[in-house]
Amino acid sequence: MAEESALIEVKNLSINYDDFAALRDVHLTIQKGNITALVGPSGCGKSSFLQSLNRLTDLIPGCQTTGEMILGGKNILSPGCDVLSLRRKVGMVFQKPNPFPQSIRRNFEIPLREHGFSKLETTDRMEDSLKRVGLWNEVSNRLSRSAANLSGGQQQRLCIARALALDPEVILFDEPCSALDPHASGVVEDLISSLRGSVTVVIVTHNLAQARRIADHLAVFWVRGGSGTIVETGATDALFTSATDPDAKSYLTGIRG
Amino acid sequence: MSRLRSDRVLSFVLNAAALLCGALVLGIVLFLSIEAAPTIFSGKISAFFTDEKWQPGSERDPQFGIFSMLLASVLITLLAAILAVPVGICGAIFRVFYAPESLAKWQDRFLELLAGIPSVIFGFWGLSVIVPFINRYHPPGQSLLAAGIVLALMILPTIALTTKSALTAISPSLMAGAAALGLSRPAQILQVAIPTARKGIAAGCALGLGRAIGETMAVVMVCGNIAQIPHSVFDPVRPVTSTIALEMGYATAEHKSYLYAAGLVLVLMTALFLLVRIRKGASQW
Ligand SMILES: Nc1ncnc2c1ncn2[C@@H]1O[C@H](COP(=O)(O)OP(=O)(O)O)[C@@H](O)[C@H]1O
Ligand SMILES: [Mg+2]
Repeated sequence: MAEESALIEVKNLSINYDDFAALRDVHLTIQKGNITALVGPSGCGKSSFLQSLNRLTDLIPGCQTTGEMILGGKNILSPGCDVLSLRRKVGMVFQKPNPFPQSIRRNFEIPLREHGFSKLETTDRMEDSLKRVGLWNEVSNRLSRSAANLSGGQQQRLCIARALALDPEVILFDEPCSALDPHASGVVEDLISSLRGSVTVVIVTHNLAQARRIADHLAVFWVRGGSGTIVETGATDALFTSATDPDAKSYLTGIRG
Repeated sequence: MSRLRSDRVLSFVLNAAALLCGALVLGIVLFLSIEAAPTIFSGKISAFFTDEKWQPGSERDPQFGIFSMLLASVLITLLAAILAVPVGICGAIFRVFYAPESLAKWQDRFLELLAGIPSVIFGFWGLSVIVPFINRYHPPGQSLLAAGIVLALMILPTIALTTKSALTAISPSLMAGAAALGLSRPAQILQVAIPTARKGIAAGCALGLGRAIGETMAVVMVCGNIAQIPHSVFDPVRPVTSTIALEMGYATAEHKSYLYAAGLVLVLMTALFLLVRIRKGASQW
């Protein structure tokens, strides 16, 4: 496990969709360079939590966040936060691979040029990050072909490379393997695992075995009184062997969930 | 009915419908060709492009040059496109990405209504509003410009509505991905949404232009109907469609055959336009 130092402090976070309180009173410390897995049954607010970390919740009409998420001394949730540079620092990879249906090269040019990188830097960063996700050998001779023709696993790795190219401090993964076949899923899992130390990873997964394999820390989400919340957090091994919350315990041991 | 059987029935019905559509197009082309045959086979069809004027009724010197009219058809369509395509696409972008829900609903209603107005009403409106307005600054008012404006309004709903559906069909996760990379709203729209939807947008424009080139009633009322090569947008023109509509009623023998041949040329032109678009669409990426 990497040396502990908090990168993000979440205090008293609540998320509402209109009148519905999806998430209430969430506290969590995310350690720098670590992999933190968010687990729990469907509908307990894991995706909502993840999306508030890069303010993607802004896109949902009627969605309101209160509380604090401190990153680098600033509150992510404050209205004054520069959302575009926040999202550059906090990247995201989704459940369904979502490369732009344009050339592989354009998938890098669009975000990199937008953030002010020169053509040369863009090419360098594209090559570096494609190598980092192990895709360079597979696609280097067809960078001008459409990303839509890649396999699901390749598309997901492209999306990870695209996020990495911006040199983010954090990458959020929302069930990144659940739309992939077992082999591709394994490749992506190894890739995420390899990010440890260089990027802070927050990952939602329904695969407890996967969480156990890759995560340093675990946060168990559960619905309490109609709203989602975190019922237990801790180091992965400790939580799997000795969770104190009864729901978390039964979920992690596979009795319920 | 067994699953297999109902599948077969459905497939038969669908195939029949597709076949009928194809047969209709072929039938129309065939009918035009037969009627135009005397002109085509006598070799006189070259008169279309060698004769200078269109005076089919003249006893002394009948002439059948349709170049100016073909040109007028193309120019009117082009002008309508120049006016309607940007407005339609921008309107759709506004509708999908910026308009509040309530306004968006009204915009849809309004466009659907506009699409349903009969073309003669557009012509009537053009004649009583656009033509006098142009006439005030640049007589006579009945002109290429008037026809272009009226046509632009007619094809605007087609372009705007198809663009809207193409843009709304984009998967939300794609747009979320664009946002998550820190792209600004304009960049999300211009670099991600538009390229993703461009086939649908192009199809909408092609549909609109296809309608524009064939539109008759509204155009006939505002274009001035003088068969000449225009020197400015304020000059009266006469597109092929107007000529057919105005003269078919009284044309006889040779004249009539020429009108059918002109119709055939128009159909072929539209077909060519669509074909080029399809080829271009296929070769993208
Ligand atoms: N856009 C939305 N509008 C309204 N309710 C939503 C929306 N997104 C999620 N929810 C609700 O918020 C709760 C948490 O959802 P979500 O964050 O997706 O949970 P999870 O990812 O853990 O399955 C669910 O009850 C869900 O129905
Ligand atoms: Mg989820």
